[in-house]
Amino acid sequence: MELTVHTRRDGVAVVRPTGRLDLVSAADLRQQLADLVAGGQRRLVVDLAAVPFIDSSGLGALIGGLKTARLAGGDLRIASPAPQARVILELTTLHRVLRPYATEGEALAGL
Amino acid sequence: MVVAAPARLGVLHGLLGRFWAGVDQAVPAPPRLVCRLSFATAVAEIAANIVRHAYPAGTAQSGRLRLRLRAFPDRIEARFTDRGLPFTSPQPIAVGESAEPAATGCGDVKGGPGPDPLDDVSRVAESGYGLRLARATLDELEYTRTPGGRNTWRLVKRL
Repeated sequence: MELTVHTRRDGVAVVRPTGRLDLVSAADLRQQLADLVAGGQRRLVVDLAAVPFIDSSGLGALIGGLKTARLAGGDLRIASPAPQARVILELTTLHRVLRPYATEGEALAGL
Repeated sequence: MVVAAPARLGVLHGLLGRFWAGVDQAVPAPPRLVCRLSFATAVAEIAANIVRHAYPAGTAQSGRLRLRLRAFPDRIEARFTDRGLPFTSPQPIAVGESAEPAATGCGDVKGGPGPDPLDDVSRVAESGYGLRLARATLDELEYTRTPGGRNTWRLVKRL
């Protein structure tokens, strides 16, 4: 998995992982999100467009990031989930706390 | 047969890809995308579970993980075999018994089980979703520890 972080002029950090988010790569994402919040960037969008597969470890990393961001007074939103990501978010009912936005633009609006 | 290590889990996705290609040729009505995604999710979760529990890091345990994928006219099946530590969990799966039936994808799409409504984010768990996901996406999930010291997991999804 590759991770790119794009910081916008409004201060929102857009994190774009590429590849499977699983037992192996989840720790990297978790660390990246924690580092961003620790560095003062507490409004985060994780764009999942290039993530074909997420397992429970990946979900855990996203929930961890959400908690860390909220605790710092910010928020984390996910954008453009692929079909498999939507399936597992709904099966775990985590879509209720981690609402998927259809596009990065929608996730950014009002963040 | 793959070495049971986290970095090797990606191999499973390649195997599944080849399996679906075979299923497409053998079955008149190939499974829908959501069915494939659900089955792949369950296979990945059980594999990750074996890597974590049967061959935990920092122990002398190491070894291999065997995966057999089969398609039948009415169902698809995955069977994992390993010789690692026996599986024990706070979310037990009775030996030889099917877990709760819930399904996504191959027949009618039904809602899966999940936690209660989640209002307070700080109380949302960050782990423990693996087996729940596997149960929710499958029609049957069986774990057996054989007297010979083998763990077997049988995953069934009806078409």
